[in-house]
Amino acid sequence: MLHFSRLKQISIWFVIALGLLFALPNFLPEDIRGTEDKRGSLPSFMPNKTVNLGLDLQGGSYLLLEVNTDSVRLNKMEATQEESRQLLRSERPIIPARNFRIHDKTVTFNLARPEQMEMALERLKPLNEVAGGQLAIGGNTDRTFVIKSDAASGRISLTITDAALTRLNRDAVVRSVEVIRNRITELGTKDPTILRQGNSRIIVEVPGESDPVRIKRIIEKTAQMTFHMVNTKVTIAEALTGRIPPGAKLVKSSNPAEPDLLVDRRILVDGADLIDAQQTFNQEGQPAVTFTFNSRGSLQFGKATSENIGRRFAILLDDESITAPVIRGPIIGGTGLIDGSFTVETANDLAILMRAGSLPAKLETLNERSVGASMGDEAVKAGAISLMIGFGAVMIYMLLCYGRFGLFANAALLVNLTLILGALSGLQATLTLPGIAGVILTIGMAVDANVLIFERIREEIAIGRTPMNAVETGFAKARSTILDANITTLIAAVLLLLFGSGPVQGFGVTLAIGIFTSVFTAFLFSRLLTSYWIMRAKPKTISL
Amino acid sequence: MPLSFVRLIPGDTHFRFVRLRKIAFAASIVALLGAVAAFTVLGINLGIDFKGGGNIEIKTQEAADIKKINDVVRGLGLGEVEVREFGSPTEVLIRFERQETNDPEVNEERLQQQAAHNVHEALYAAFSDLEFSFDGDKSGTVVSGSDLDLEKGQKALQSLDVEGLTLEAGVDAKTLVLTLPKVVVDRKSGPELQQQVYDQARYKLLETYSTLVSQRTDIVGPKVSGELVQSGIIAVLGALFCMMLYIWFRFEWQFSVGAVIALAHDVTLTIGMFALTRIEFNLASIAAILTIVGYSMNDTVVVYDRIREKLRMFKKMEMGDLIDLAINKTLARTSITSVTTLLALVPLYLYGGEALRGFAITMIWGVLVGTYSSIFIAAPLLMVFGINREALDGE
Repeated sequence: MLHFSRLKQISIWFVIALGLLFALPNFLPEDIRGTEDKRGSLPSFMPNKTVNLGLDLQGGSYLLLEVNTDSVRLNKMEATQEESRQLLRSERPIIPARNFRIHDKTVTFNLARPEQMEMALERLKPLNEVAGGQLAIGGNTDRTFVIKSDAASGRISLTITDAALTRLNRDAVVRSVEVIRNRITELGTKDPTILRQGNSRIIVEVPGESDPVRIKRIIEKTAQMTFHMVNTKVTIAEALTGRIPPGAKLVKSSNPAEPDLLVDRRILVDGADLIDAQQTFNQEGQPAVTFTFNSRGSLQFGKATSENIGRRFAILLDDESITAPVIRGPIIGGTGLIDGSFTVETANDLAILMRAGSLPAKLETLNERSVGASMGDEAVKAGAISLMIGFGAVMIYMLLCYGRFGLFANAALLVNLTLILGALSGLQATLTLPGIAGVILTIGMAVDANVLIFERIREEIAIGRTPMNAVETGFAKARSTILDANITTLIAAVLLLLFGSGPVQGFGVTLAIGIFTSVFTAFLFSRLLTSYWIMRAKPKTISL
Repeated sequence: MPLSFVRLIPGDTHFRFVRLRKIAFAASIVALLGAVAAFTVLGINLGIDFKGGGNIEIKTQEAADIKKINDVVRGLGLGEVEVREFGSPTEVLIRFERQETNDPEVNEERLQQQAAHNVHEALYAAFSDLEFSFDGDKSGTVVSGSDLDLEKGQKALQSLDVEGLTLEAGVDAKTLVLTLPKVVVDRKSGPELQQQVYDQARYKLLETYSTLVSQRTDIVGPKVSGELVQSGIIAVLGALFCMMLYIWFRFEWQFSVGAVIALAHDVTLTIGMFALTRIEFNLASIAAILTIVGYSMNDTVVVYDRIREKLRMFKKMEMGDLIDLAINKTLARTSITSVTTLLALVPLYLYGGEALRGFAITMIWGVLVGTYSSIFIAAPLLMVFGINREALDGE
């Protein structure tokens, strides 16, 4: 047990050096270490990440939001009702239907003339195709609806499948994450974290922003997209000199290269009535954007476009014009096409903006935590002080108990702390307040492996073994005990990681890391030190 | 180099632990019954993590007037409210319980946040001397008993991101004039009610000019608290179960049952401690209990390991003597490890800050109980179950 092959020795020192390398940035000033955007003067092969402090340690806000899945479903069902109504009227002969009802996941209606059933079903087909295509985030082409019909009564029911509903919800969450990220980035805070959790939840963490009121205000808004007619009573040049006709306003273009635009103040259609937008291609194969309105929006938009063929309308987002296409013909049916000088990319961007401009569903805050920055500082200081005192006390105690061997254990403990710090920095795991408690606890428990070994060696000396032999047997016999003891603790740590939330998970992380580093340092590193000493000093007796 | 080492336990002890088992079992049963009784009668002081509601920590400039804060918060009609000093005389913790409603129209999640908002607003108002007036449309004034820092207020309002909302100097340095835009149009959301914008501005100004700082706010809604209870229970039971499996796999069933009984003993006594001390039981407490489980298991495994070794070594030795021998042989290690762990935990209790104090106490208690149970419960239990020595040999 005391013999280490050269390769093994090198590996042990290599792991320690690696730990040191990863722990190092925590002790360097920022101008050397560099920041997120800009590397400091550290050579590029060196890691430059510091420990990632949890919100409870650096101050900030944490919000757990849930997308209201009921509202997602209801929106979809309302849209489906409108779409089917329009599909039935899309061609001649018009198929009259009535008694439209939404119940839970189903839309039902009756055909006025049941004999039109076959034709009706044929016309409703796009419902599955279009919806399936639009939702195809993961390239999914499953059916969206189960369509049932009763030829005798002329009754048709459209039931959305659970798979489609899950897809819708996930889509809503993904879009919400997108919107929230855009908005929070605008706040100018540093590294906000916006994460999807499960199928309907979103975690928002904003370090340094201890006022969740402000964040919630921003998150809970639904962005404003409006459609206006372009005003041509005066030219832009005239308008810029201040001659703005009544009822019109000047708006900037979102593209700084484009000139300002004069639009009617009256809102043709509200973006809130938009259901969807997708990048597509027009008949000439040019990139374009299709969009879909709900019933109200399509009615208003149909009316406006049929009255204004040949004129331009503008789409404003937050009072900036995104685009101002020419109306080629009346857009009825709630689905329109915007084409212009798009590339696939810009068309896609516009579609995302139109989609992501407003939140797709209501968001509820389930859990809110905020910590002031000064508070976090105090917590870090308190943690560091208790860590140092505990660390010192344990080291002194080990020295008193085991003398020279205590020194080995203390060296192992120092290495242990370095490795924990290195692992936390390298893995970018989050260190929380309970996490600090975890490190402190690890310090106390880490020496256990060494204590087990040393006590074993004492026993072996007591029964009269030679020093070398006693040390060797001590390490060997303690091995399975150390493993058993640490695996059981690891079980507890893993369960904390799996079922804990937030700060408690942070505790699980440090506990788990601590177990690995403790076993490594006690079992390999302090054994290596012992072996060096024994090989060199060749002691006749061991005082332990 | 002759050195006399500190030894808590002499190297060669011969305590007769097994002989004490009846007393130990009886003592433990009494303690367990006490813990269960305390839990049933007193219940445990569940924190908002598991019950829902809010924790608000504030810091005042001078020693906090708990009574005043208490009066202000109780005046809000939030039901059960706890107000107490937290760590230092200038820090106060305010805890309100989950706000409930029978009205299905009202969103209960939002109710908790509204309650926290009200507490903040009432406290800011109580700890500042601002007088507000608002004409319900476009302008309002803020009057204070002392000079107001205009720039500070302007900066605070800026963070609301409402275009056209301004704050200017009034007739004297103690007065500020608040002007709302004609039509309040938020850059993101369109028109908003004047009153809403005014309320937000008022809140911001109260916060800015108050002598009190909100340090930490935790709000837990009913949905999440329910889930946290569930995942906490799953985590603890899951840990017990996994450890039982592991011990069964590594030893014999008697060992695994003995170990789990000892763990359940520790967990129950810890819960009893929570009931008696009224320490708040929160997420960190679950972490503490799981760590206690891990620690106690650690201790038990060390003793069991030695019992197994001695069983293989001394085939003829009487079971009680053998267990005693194993416990005595590991006693030095058990006590030293307990001491080092306590050495690390005590500073955490003393200097780790109020937030970790409960965690530290729980762990200290757990280390003591865990050490006791490994020696006096887990090992002697093997006597009760009896061990099939041949089965052990077969491995």
